[in-house]
Amino acid sequence: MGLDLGALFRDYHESLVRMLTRRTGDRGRAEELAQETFARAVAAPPTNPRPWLFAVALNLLREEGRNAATRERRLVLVKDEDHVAPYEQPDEAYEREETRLRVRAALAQLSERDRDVLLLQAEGFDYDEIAQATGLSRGAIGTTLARARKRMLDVYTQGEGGTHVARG
Amino acid sequence: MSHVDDGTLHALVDDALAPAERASVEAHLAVCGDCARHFADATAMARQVHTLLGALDDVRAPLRIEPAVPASPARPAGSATPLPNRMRTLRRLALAASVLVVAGISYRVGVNRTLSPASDDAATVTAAVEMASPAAMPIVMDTAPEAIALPSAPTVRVAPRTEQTADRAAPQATQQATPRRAMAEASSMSRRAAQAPVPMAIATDEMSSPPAEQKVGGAAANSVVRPASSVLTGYQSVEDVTMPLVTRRRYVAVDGTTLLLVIAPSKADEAKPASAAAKVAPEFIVSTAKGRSTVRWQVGGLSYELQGALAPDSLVKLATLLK
Repeated sequence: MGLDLGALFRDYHESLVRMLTRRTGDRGRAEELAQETFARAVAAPPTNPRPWLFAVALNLLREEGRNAATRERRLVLVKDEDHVAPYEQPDEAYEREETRLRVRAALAQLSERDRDVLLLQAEGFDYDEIAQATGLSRGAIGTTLARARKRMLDVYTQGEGGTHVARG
Repeated sequence: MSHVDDGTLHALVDDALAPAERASVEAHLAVCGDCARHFADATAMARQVHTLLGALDDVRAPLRIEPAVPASPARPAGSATPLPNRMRTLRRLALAASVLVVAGISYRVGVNRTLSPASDDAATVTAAVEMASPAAMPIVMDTAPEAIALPSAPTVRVAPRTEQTADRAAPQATQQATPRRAMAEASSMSRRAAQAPVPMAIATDEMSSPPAEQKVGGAAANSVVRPASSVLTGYQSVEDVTMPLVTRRRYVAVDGTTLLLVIAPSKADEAKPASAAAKVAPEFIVSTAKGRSTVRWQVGGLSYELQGALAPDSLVKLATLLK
């Protein structure tokens, strides 16, 4: 049975790119990873595409190795230069950037597994799909999400106190 | 029943409990104030996290059309785009081009700004061709080119801006079906608030095009307005959108200051400054609103408008450079 890549792309590409953008902080890289993911889907058509695609994408991210963190920082800088929100008042742009940095910093404090679960859930994955994509047991998802949400908000709120941890 | 653990409460928030367990937990919440409060906390946390994650989404302008061919000699020194960036630019161009192709909009893209109008048109054609070919490959990739020329794919891409607005709405739609009603409503409201800047940005974008587009039509509609020069010292031209009658160009300085230059045919009634506008230099009409200044001037039947979050006199200086 052939794979309807068009349908697959239409249904999941944006969600995948959004999740990867949130995960990496870099839209261009997210698009590259998504493209590679779809290429793999063509090579080995999945039966249950959504968890499969996201699992592959997250694996690709991990495969990038230990220097990923360094690369991410560099890419974020590149993107920051690149990313000038058009037609926005400077204070609004500043505020948006502040929030973005703090959210990124908060997300960075989570374990990889917690972060993945959180991002997948934000894409509308149900617990079964999250379990499939991450290899966790379904019963562990609620606890993981509870921990991840709490941790993320804790770190984010600490950042609100004026110490710009996100600035590093 | 003993107290409900956090994981179960969050699963209830996410509507992920089996019916029997859900009924039992809900029954407990009805009689246990502590757990009911924890459930309310969990609901709020889920909503907050969802909103915060939305802050990470890219709000890049949809038609980010950058020169993909070698820059004009007038390009400021040191502004060469790093290679990976250029690859991305190509990809974005491919996407943008596919948008243009699908939508059937005939934008004309100025590529080499210092060329004469005739050769400029040639450059435009070249750019269009270069943009169109990657557009035929909806999934642009380096690794498996044979996998990408699938027939159904070219139509899967829609305009990035709408797409982005829509894709934010997508999980909302999925989510609303699942969580508890109260949470869904509240979170949808907060998400709508979080989305507000995007439609607003679109509105501003559209508003920044002078109304000349509608007023001047007929024979002139096919002509393309081109300024003689677009070099601004210290600024890099990051976007150059040329439509019939209107050219819009965006400049970015190293410090992130953005300037927008809109060139359109002059309207007769624009020759005189509006009464509210402060007249700083005789040839410029300057106005300031909400920390954003606008300088207008006219040359050879064209109306130029430079906008930016700068002091009016700084903007006038830049306008003088441009003029």
